[in-house]
Amino acid sequence: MEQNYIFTVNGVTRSTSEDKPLLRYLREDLHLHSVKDGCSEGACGTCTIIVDGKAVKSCVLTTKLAVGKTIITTEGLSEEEKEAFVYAFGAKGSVQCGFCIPGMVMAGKALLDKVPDPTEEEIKVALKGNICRCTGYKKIIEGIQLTAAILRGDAKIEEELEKGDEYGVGSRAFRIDVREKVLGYGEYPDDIEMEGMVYASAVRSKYPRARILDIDYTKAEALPGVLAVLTAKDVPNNKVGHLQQDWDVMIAKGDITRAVGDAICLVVAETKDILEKAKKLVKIEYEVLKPVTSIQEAMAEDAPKLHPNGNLCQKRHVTRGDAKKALANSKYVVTQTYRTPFTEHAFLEPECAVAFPYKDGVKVYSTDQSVYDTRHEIAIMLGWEPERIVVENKLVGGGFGGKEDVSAQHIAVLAALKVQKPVKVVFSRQESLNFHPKRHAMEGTFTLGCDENGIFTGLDCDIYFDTGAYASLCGPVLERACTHSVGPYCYQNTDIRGYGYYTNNPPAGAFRGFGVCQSEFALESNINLLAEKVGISPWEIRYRNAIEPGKVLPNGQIADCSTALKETLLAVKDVYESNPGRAGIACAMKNAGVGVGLPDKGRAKLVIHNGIVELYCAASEIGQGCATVFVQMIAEATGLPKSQIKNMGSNSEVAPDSGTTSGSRQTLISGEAVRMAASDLNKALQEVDGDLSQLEGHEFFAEFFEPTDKLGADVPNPKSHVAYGFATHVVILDDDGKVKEVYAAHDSGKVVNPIAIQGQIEGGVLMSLGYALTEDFPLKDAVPQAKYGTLGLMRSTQIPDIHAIYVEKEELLPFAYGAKGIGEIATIPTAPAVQGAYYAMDHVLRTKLPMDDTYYSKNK
Amino acid sequence: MAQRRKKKVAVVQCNGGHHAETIVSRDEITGDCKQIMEQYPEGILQCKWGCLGGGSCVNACKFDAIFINDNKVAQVDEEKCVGCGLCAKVCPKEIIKITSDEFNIQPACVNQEVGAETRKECSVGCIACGICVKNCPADAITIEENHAVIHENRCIACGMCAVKCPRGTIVDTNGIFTVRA
Repeated sequence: MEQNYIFTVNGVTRSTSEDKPLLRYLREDLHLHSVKDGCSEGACGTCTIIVDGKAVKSCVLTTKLAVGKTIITTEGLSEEEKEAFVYAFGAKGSVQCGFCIPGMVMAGKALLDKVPDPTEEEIKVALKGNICRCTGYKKIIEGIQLTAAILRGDAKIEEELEKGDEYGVGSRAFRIDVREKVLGYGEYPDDIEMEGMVYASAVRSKYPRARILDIDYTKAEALPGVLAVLTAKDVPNNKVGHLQQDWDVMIAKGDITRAVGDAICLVVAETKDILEKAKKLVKIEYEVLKPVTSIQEAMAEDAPKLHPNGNLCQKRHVTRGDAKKALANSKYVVTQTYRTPFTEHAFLEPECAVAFPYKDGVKVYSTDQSVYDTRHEIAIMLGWEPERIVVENKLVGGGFGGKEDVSAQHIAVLAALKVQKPVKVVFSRQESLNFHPKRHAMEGTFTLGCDENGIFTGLDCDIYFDTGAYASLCGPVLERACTHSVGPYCYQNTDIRGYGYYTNNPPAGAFRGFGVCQSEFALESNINLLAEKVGISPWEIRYRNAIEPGKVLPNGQIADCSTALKETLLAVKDVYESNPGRAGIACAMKNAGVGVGLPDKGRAKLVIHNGIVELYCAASEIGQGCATVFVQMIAEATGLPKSQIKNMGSNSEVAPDSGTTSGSRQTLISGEAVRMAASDLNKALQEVDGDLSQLEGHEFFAEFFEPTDKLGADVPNPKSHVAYGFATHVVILDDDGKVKEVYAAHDSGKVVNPIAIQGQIEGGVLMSLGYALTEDFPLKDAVPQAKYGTLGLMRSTQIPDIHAIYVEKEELLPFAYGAKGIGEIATIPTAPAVQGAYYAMDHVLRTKLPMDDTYYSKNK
Repeated sequence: MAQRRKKKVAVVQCNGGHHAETIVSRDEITGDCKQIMEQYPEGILQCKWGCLGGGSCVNACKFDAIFINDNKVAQVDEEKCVGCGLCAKVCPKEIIKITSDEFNIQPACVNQEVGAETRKECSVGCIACGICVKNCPADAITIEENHAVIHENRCIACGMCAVKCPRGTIVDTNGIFTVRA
């Protein structure tokens, strides 16, 4: 007899005869999409719900085990609770990408139901099973504290804040996406359901390097419910790639795989269950070959060529002055070799795309960092005019650089065109870990010299990057590693050689910090050694060398009026000096904007429609907050309230291309385009006495482009980038070597949204702490060994007290109200500051990340 | 609403009781665990590590927070337990541990026999099959001395091990992922 499992969900009695993970029942049968699927392994916490008063992960619980239980999801909160969480999370800046948020809300509610006035420690423990990769947890903890206060009646909801009548630049702006993300009704691609939608998934290589002798999918194809099986021969142009087209959509029979993430065939089926069954029926015959597992192996003369032009994927030589001579004449010189690991982005939302036939082509709902980049790669694959492909962002559950390349989108398109139906492709968590490009692993030897006063004289370095199986963004990432290896100082002799090698490891590409996390870790560590030789403090040597307005950076660019590195150093001077033997310090700079002579354009179009200002600007909001920033800029320019401005999102059919969410560029580059368009709108508004209704149907378009000089340009002071952000971080250890506090002082120009910038800084700091201390991506013969839960991502109970400080100067750049962007820089200086703090404590120079012999390595 | 802000709680690491093969019939037993051990130095169960069900812990508890359940093993009432540790001190089998109540997923077995022996002795004993180790997303479980050990510095209490355990050895003290037999 068929058994029925009966339980209560949000007050309604439910019954099912299927025994399956409750997560799948809630999402697929009840369409409760607030319950997010971040890993289906019990590791991430995005699917947290409340069962009989306890917060549990619904991917672990099954319908069978749920019998008789009372279940609550975010949808089932009372109105009072919903309003309290929405307001508190918005007011405190708890929401960035939002994918972890409904799970956090439920973990928070379970605690508050038991303990109405929890301590910070109790909240941290309650959130221990929930990963957030954006915020650094602090803002979520504050959000839960405020929710608790509201529910107790000790705090009130200020309705004006969410309403946003005052929403201009510098206002405490309640993000535009708070409500949908907190309550979980905002749509990520995996939340899309379409009439007739089917599923596709790739069968991927078992081996990092193997020749495909045969692909036998006859049994899979014969399985009822299987609609198609595609292989390389079904792809019009089998090579895609963000910049270099070296990435096989599928590995053809007879060809050799390059990484375990490689797709070999693509199965399309009516349901997820049939799809999984069919994938198991595909038989692939391999000739297993020895993989190239390291830069050294890739460089060896007898190494197999992984790509037609050999294993050297990219190289750069950045030089100015005469480093050799300068170092020979230096009073003090230090040379050290540093090693940093691959790092996984670990965004909470795995890759997902839904594609379907549309007009004379295809449309894709995508989670990515630029709809136009995705369109470009798909156009290359299909050999089509790009306009036939429409790409629209749904909510993006974190990217950090890891969603710049196509992953699920292009294969969803292939499948949709084949079966002429909507097709969803969603990666499993392990597939995501194995497939998408990581932060490059680096081996670098850095020689830095200074005079008797500690003034830097020159830098010579070799930077070797393992770019894994595919180029992805190796070229520009390697270039930023080289150009930023000099640090935010002023000296004029540099000789920097960078090499990026192909191996059979998972590919490496863009990751928040874009190569600079690696090279500035090495440089800043060397600086501490020089300070010791000179006999001055690590703070002092940085202050003496710090760049300031009008002085010349090592790349020749004259620092602009907004440069405030010294102000960030002064902001942390006292705290650094009052913790001798326990404090480490490091500085960083990071470009805002792509720069280096490329046509890096921001574009925005405003349309007055139904009495509101609609913003069309294809600039991906990946959680960092740019969609809100643009609305603020329109509010600033026009004085209009938030309720009369609507950001229409990133959609290649209707919104102009405003470039990739990369290079900390959206606030500055797209923001300036938005400001320009809004400024034109404001002029028009003034002509009609501020009556927006008279402008119905009008459009205002603006394009912003500030030229820069290409690398090695033959001018005395090349301008590499439109702007640089600067920062100084101080890390303080306790007596056990545990990070107690981090002070993060930032110059990012004008702060557009003070609520959001703190969370951006705190999240960046925590990511960098993980990089320094706990995160790793171990490989065994080029095969990833980590699961999501063992990456070493810091949990809520591990966080130190992070103090985000921003210095705002009077002198600002004339773009985007003087904002420079904060996206990447917060992840850069913390790791070397941790290194410095340990060096201050025990005088051991830790040259490898994650560092050995720390509180964290001992308590793993 | 009652606040419960407890940090520590006792956990009984055995769920044998009626599931465990006996040497001496429970009907013949009188007295608490100490007396049972004096009378039957070899114990009353085939398993040397199992709960005797004599209730020394019950007598020691000042909060009425531990009782011998229908299965004849000691069970902690978490609402009442304050984690003082008196029960753990008097347990002759040393199978009661004190931990933080955030760790609600616990292996209810510490036997050191090889799996094949355990199978004969107790139907809910850990046979060291390692399925929990494989399924733990946090690499928080190891097999030590033939039983699963959860390392609390890594455990996120997701319950995956309890759900996957083929013997029902790993239990959820909250009673959601597993119901104590």
